[in-house]
Amino acid sequence: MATVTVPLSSLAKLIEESEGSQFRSILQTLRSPTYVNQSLLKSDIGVFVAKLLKLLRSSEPYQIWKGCHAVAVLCSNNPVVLCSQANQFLTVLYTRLESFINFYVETSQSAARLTTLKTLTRTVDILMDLIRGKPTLTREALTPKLNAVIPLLMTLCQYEPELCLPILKKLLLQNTTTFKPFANKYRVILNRLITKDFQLYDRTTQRLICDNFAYLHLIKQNAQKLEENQEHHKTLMDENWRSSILSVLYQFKPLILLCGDILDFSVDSEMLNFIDSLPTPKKDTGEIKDELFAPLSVDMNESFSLWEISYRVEVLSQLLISFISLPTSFPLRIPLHGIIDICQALLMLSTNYLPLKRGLRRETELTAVIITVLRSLQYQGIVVLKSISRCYGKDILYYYSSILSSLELFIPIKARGNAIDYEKVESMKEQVFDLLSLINTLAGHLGHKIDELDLFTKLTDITLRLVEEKSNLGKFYTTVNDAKSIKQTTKQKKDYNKMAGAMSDIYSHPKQFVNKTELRWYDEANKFLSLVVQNWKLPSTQQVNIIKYATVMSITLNEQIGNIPESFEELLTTIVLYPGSERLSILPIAVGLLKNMDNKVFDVLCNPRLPFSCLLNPGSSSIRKDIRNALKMPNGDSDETEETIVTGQQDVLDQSDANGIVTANDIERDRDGPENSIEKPLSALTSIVSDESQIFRKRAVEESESEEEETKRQRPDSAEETENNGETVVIPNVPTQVLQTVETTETAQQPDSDSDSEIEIPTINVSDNDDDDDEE
Amino acid sequence: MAKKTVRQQDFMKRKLKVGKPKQKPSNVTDTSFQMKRISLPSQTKISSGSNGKSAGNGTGVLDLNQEVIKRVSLLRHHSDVTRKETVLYFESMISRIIHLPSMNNLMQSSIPLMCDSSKQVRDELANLLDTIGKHDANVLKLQIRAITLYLNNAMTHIIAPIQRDSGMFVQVVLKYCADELVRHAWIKMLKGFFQVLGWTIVTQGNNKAKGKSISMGITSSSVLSMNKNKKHKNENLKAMLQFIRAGVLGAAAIGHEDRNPEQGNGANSVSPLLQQRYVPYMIPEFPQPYAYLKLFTRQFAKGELTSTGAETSSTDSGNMTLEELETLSCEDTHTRRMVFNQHFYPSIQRQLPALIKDGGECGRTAHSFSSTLEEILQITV
Repeated sequence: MATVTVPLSSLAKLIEESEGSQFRSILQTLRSPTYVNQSLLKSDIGVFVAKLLKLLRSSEPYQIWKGCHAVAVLCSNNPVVLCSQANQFLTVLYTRLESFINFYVETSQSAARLTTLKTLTRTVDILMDLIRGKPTLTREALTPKLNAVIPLLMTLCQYEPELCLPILKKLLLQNTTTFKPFANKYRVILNRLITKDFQLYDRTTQRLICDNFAYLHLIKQNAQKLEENQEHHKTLMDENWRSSILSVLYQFKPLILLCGDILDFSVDSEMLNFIDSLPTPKKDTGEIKDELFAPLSVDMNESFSLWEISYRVEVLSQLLISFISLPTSFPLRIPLHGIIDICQALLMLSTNYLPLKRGLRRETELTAVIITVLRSLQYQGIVVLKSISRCYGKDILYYYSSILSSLELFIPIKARGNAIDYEKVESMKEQVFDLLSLINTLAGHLGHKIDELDLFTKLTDITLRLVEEKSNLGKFYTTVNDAKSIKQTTKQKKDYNKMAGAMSDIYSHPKQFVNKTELRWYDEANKFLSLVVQNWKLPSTQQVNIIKYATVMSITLNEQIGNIPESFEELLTTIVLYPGSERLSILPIAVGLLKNMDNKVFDVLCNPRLPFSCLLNPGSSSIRKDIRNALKMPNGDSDETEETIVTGQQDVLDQSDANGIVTANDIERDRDGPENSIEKPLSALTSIVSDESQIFRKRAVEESESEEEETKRQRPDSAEETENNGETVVIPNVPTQVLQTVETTETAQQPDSDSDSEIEIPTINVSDNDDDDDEE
Repeated sequence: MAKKTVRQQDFMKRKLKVGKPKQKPSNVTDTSFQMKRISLPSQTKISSGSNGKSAGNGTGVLDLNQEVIKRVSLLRHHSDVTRKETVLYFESMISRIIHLPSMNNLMQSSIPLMCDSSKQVRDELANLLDTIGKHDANVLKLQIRAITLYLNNAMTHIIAPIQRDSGMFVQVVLKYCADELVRHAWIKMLKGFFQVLGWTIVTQGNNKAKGKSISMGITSSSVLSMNKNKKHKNENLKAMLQFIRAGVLGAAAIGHEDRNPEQGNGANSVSPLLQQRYVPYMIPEFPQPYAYLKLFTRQFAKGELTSTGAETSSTDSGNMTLEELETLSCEDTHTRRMVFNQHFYPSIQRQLPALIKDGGECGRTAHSFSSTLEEILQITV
């Protein structure tokens, strides 16, 4: 076969000098599958690889950067290179990485070097990913290197956690035994990350730190277990994991008890009992091994030190979420009851029903801080609950009533009476967002089974309130008016004029100061609202407000961003389908709004009709298959179908005299008429196939692994074949060959398609096979 | 010097010359133009092309339409006799004009007559509305906004006779568009009745001891006149009773035409369950189906009217003040019943025993009133 591509040797020359866009096109060329050729290994590939190694060894960051990218592209597209050269590449890469990390302080000075460091790390990651799973390669290239790579990454992760932690997480999960010697050192590093600067990292990094900490517990610590007499007990796989979950859980209780110094628990005896029942370590076993955290320093005289409690709970709940949600190779025993109890206890820490302690009530500054701290504690309860309900779904159904009732405590209410405090609600919009998404996941499992409507109507009101665009200027105007009167009496007119000059925008363009709502928020709110509309008959106040919100916001958003977001479309559809106690659905309004959206529901509602196939043949499934076949036939040969349609029409005319009514069924049968020769073996074959599918299913269970391997092996082949087709078609000199190749490929693929085929496919594939069989 | 000459010019006598026209004084008014058309703003212009629809109907209908438009202005005539005569005339014409485009003009100018100073006009208006309702209730339904506005106006009117007559109008309106009326202005109308009857509303404070009572009577004289005039009192009481029955017990309670019922009382229709399912998706049989959404009306921002940030969920509407209640929409029976039970029920119950004791027509109505209240209570329980 003629190769039309650039030879690798010339690329090798180019790559050294290339820059910018030229380098990019070189990388693009490298992806070509023509280089996957063992015969090239000694000549061209050898030269190219040598060039790449040279680039990697160079002292200039830019050359290293180029080398990294070239290696990544070449290895991921070229299995031959990967198998032969990965070992060498990895060695060079990690030595380079080592030199960079050793001089991290200097490296971090220049942006170029820092970028190169990041690229190096990523390339190492890519290479390791590529090697993993290939037994020989792993044994020879990866496992020996890991002993050097892991400590390197561990050092680097102190400086660049968001870069290294994902790689280390992968290593922990997939090369657990190799990681074992480094576990203790890594634990120390992670401990430092968790206890010291945890709050400084962004959300994803925090998550990564916790995930790594959790995965560290995959490594078994069986040293002390052997000494005891319990060897004959079969230890469960998750022993280590479970004990660490519990140790995290145990640390919540003292923190909640600490809040007893702020809130007066003694008012509510049930509350006291409940807190008492929270999970605590058993004293006799002495399970408290390593205290992760230092004692808290909280001082009531410095009100902001109270935030320490919130920070600590945040870390703990993040750790807990990692332990709960991460996938592991072995089944886990999760203490769901304990976790949910703790979430509830956190949610109970509210000033809604519990008074503050006596001595604290007078200081306004302190009480203000306390209220916000408590709210953030409650919020952590919601965060944990959210991840639980996402991971365990229906398993927590048993607890849902208590969860819902404790969630209601999160809604702030006014000091006297039962009314919702909307000012506070508006200040915690983000948290309400999480509450809504929690409710959405929860209620997805519950449906209309919930009889407690109170929480949901409250939340509906809150949601409708929060989706309005509001500015914080309401208070400003009132205070300014006061200030005006004061200032006029004191005759400091100059000052006032100065201020008015700066503030003029607020008066002239108040709309510019409106806080916009994120689209993401709308999505969650809409999901919640449509859930509420679906499951309950709302009082008309809420229903009307929801309808109004949906219509008005879809129009405004349509004007602002050019299209109506999907969640609004769904909400409108739900409102139409569930009109509640309204006299009329808003069908015309919704259709008018969504006329460009091609909404299936509205389409059917506006032009009511039965499903197509249902009309044609009520009931019988065997005919349905025929129809599908017939419907697909016209693509193949148009002449025949035209004739058949004509005959069909004639038949219709004839029959219409006799019967009066003609179903489309008859037409279809007539259509099939000329092709009866094909139809018969088809029906026979479909029956065989339907039998076979069952056989296949059984076999699939037994031999799923081997099949997978087979398909893996076959994939590259088939890819090559299709490419061959493409190429041969381009060259017009050898048409006979083309035909042959096409046929052979088809016959070659036949067994594949058979083995893969499921019940639904057969109509077309099988008919092809039939033709082939006949020919043969 | 210059000033002096200027002043003197005014007093100089101009000489008249032969062959030249007489010089006009400086302040002359030009009266040379001829009058072609005189516009008198108190009468409407008659234009022929105002109704393009008449092409198929022939000229008779066209003339009728113009006739109506011409006569509508007479409803605002200063003489009460003319006004009454006009109303009478329209009443006789209703069967012919009910579907003319000019009906809109007629309704717009006749509804304000609810607050007319003359008793005769008001009586005739009630008859007119009744006739309209008999012919086509949808005409009344279409105007429900205006009707409620003027009903409220009448109920809160400072002139006692007008206020007293409001019950009569309510009864007429309830006959034909009870459902619309209770949906549209449940709370407002209830408050209005209290004002007409001169009753007090007991507000429920957080602690019962503090519960205030608000007297809804405008003046003490109006309360007095109402108490004196037993007949009117009875009328108003009846109206209130009908209104409450319509609102809380549903449309069937009054025994009128069966519209799409919320209470599931479509026993005489073919299959009520099925109907309930598909009726919301059919073309509505009543006008202005989406008016209640108030998509095109300007509203005050929430919390702007009341400093407390009023809107609370209806579940704890027990804590809402009467002003806050206005934010609720009473489209469904459930909300209406709840609002009624929590805010108006106790106040009404306080008044009834005395009325029953007094006896007479009033006493009888009050008796049926109290039995209705019990019925309502049973539904709630």
